[in-house]
Amino acid sequence: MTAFQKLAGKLKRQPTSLAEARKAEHVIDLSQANDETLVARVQGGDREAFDYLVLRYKERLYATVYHMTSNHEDANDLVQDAFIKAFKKIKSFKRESSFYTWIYRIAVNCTINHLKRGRNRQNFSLDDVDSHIQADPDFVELMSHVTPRREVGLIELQEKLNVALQKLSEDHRAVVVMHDVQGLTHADIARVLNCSEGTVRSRLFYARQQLQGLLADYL
Amino acid sequence: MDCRNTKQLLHDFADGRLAESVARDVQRHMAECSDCRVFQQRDMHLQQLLAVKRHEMPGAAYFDNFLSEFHQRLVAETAPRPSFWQQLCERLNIQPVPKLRLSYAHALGAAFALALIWRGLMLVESPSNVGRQDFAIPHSTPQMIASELPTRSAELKLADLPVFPILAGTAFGAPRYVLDHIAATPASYEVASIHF
Repeated sequence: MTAFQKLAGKLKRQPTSLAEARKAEHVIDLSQANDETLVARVQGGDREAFDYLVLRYKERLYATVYHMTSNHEDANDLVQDAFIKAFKKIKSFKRESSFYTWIYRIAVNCTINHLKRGRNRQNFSLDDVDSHIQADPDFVELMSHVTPRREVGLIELQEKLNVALQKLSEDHRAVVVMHDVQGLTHADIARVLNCSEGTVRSRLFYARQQLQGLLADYL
Repeated sequence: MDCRNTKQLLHDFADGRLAESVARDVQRHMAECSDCRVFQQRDMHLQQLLAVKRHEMPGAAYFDNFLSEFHQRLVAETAPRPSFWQQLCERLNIQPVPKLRLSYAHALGAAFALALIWRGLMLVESPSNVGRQDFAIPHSTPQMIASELPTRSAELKLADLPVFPILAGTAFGAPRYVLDHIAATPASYEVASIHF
């Protein structure tokens, strides 16, 4: 075999191996990849990687936005807005915080702005309460007390609760939803809302005080 | 420790996040204050009531189309906006020229060029300009006027020459000023007194 033939063979093999390498790279299971990897890929131009981030966080974001708006159509629109905003600005995401904190902040800010502009649908559009509630120790304990709530049905209780939550200011509602419903820590909430932990505690205290007044019949 | 401080610290107290000395203060206050005990109990019930919110869930199929809807919105929001010409064509129901990609800047440029042409035409055709040419001669310099005069200066008579005020002072000697009256009394700047 001449040197030319060797070279030709080498050149012929090269693209094949590159293509294989690329294929192997593409085959990486993105659903198993962590957020940093996915974000890096999106920042590098891989739009498909963003889909995995959407799939990963859509339900958690939806829950937060839904509890703040009490309307599932609004919640769906706002979560999509948040993802679109995140996709557009992902190049400026410097990874100083986790992607989840960042997208959470975008979603909460979108919701607060939406509520402050008064563009939310005024009527409630509530999701159903799942059957697991009957096994929730908090709910079992609640129903065991001797108060008027024994007589009210679950749907009525749900509506009263949502009415009371909607009477809180947007900032107070956000804190109650994140802490008491979603179970985020004060530090996480402070990071999301870009404020101090003291502010979070203070808002939480005033929001709960207000809720106690609004739901006095059920406590 | 007062009631307000105690109420604010109740959650941290329940979660065991307070320093030992502060926790002891809260405990002591709770033992003495019935208001705070009631507040704590109501707060606990509120937490139980909020459990209802935790179980509000959308249907199982709710998120089935979420990703495709997101893609549709993303495409719609990131698509380039139609240009000025495209919008105009759409409004006027005209088929736009496919190969000419005219933007708003092009439209502005074309409008500016048209405006320039129109202004030029207006200047040429304006009757005021014709009149302006007639009046240009008296403001001409003496050299220009001299160039238009007949070349045989010897045959020229003074009467043939047009009399211009500008030439009066230069070609025919320096102007003369004549005083026809000299005031005999000096000027006074004193204000005349008025007697009534």
